[in-house]
Amino acid sequence: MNPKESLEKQLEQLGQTVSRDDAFVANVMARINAAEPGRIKQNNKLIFRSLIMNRFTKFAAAAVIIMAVILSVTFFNKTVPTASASEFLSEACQALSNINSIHIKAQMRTLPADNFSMIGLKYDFVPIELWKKTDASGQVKWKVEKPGRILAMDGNSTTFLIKPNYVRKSEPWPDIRGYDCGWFGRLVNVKGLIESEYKNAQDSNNTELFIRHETVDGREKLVLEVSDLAKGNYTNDYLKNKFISESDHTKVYHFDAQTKLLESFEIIVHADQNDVLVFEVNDIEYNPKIDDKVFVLDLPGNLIQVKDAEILPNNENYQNMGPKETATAFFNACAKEDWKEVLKFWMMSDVDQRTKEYLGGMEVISIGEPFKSGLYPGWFVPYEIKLKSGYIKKMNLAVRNDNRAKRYMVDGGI
Amino acid sequence: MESDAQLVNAALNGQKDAFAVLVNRYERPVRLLAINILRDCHLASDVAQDAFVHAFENLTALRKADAFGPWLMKITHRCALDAIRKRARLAPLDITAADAAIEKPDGQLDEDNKQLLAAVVKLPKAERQVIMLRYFSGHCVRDVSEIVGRSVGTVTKQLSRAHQRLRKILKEI
Repeated sequence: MNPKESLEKQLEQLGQTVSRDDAFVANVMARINAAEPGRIKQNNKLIFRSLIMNRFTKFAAAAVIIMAVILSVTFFNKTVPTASASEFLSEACQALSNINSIHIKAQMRTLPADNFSMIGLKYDFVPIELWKKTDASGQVKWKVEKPGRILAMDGNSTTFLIKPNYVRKSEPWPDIRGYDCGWFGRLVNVKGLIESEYKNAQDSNNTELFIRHETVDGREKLVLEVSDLAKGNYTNDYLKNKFISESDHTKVYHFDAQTKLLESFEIIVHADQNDVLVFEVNDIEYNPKIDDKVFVLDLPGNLIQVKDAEILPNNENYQNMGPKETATAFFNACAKEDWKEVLKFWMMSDVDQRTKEYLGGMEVISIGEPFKSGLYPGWFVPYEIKLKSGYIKKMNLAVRNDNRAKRYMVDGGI
Repeated sequence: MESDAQLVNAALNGQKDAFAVLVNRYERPVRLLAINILRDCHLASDVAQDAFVHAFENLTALRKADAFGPWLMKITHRCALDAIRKRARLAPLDITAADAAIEKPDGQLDEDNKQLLAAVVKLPKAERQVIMLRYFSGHCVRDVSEIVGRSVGTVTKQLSRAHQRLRKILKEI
């Protein structure tokens, strides 16, 4: 087996070893038509079973159709949710009213330390874990973790850690939000999850929502599918399929039909001809005992603070720089190893040694014209640089100025 | 797109056109399976036709209409082995070896494809069905979901699990 070829490609090639034979269907149907009029064999036993089967099948089919009509809610037409859909919603909420803690184990095609909702269709799966707990006094604690990035709220403060040592502390956030973690928040807030999906579907013309019954391994499930089109501007499709919201995708929630509890969840990205599973919940534990220590991060020494842009004494000079000028000034400062200047574009309290070694002394080969893509509020500036190691890097620097200093800051793309 | 179950029920109610859709849908997986057992393209095509005719004639014996795909594969396997037995009467052939043809394919496919098809045949029924529809019949996931009457999420999950299982089986081969 050629290890370089993907399994999917090999399967497709195997399928193509047999080309479609245009005459095949005609030949089969000619043989069927040429047979005796009573071509479908039926003995007494079979007729009896077939009658029973057909009666039940017809009944079941009718029930399924009725259920589909009752439960399907297509927001393309802005159909108002029906009584049964609302009933399911309220039953699900009721089932979740006694849930005080939740622990979710999932996996996602992403990079271990990159943004929480960043995806890559060809990336390997990375483990993601979520915890949420509401204690007797009503205090909420939660944590979202992937191998290189953790966001936790211990009741007193919210801590964001990018490993090894970038950290930001802020006031406690009752809901999981910020650092593009909002959709994880919806997932652990199972009680409000379906309601929020309904609301999103109602507010969007591109969202289709569907509930169906399904039997998996002999167990009845209710499946909620929410399909959404990529949001944002794609004059340049750089961000297409790099984040969940910037992809055509379907979210699939599987509920146990009896308990109404969410059992599993997947996100499938529809990219050209391929549908790729990018997120999958492997395990959901309801009401587990979660030690408070889980929500307190064990921070390393020599922390570098992630911070907002400060208003500089000569802030106006920087405010007047556009995205391209900012990228040029930033790389020139790196080339000169002028880290004090670099910090004027860098949302950190310091430049770490690893970044200094990586970017210090580099040469700018070219800076291109800035462009916008997807939902990103800033600009992407194409660049080509030669690192001290001799490696030539071509990428897009992300810069944004939606901060209190109103100047462009480097936000990613290094 | 109509599901297999809908088409089977329509065929049972006398709509032969519905069965023609099923033939069109499963033509390639059935022929591929037959070729792999029989090692002869022309004979495989005849056996594949036999399998569909046999399936049509015995449609009432199909307990679950949505299990048409896996049921058809079993019929194909049986028809192919029958063909080998018939051929063996004309020219000696070891039936045991023929029965094991799926596990040790020795047909017209190259070594990689033989191993891959042998691995696909070893998959659990539901996973084998979605793999065949997705890759051998060339349907997109949404179509496969409609054909088998399972959600897109379930089908994608089954495909993902099938991929993992195939990788494992291929490592063991």
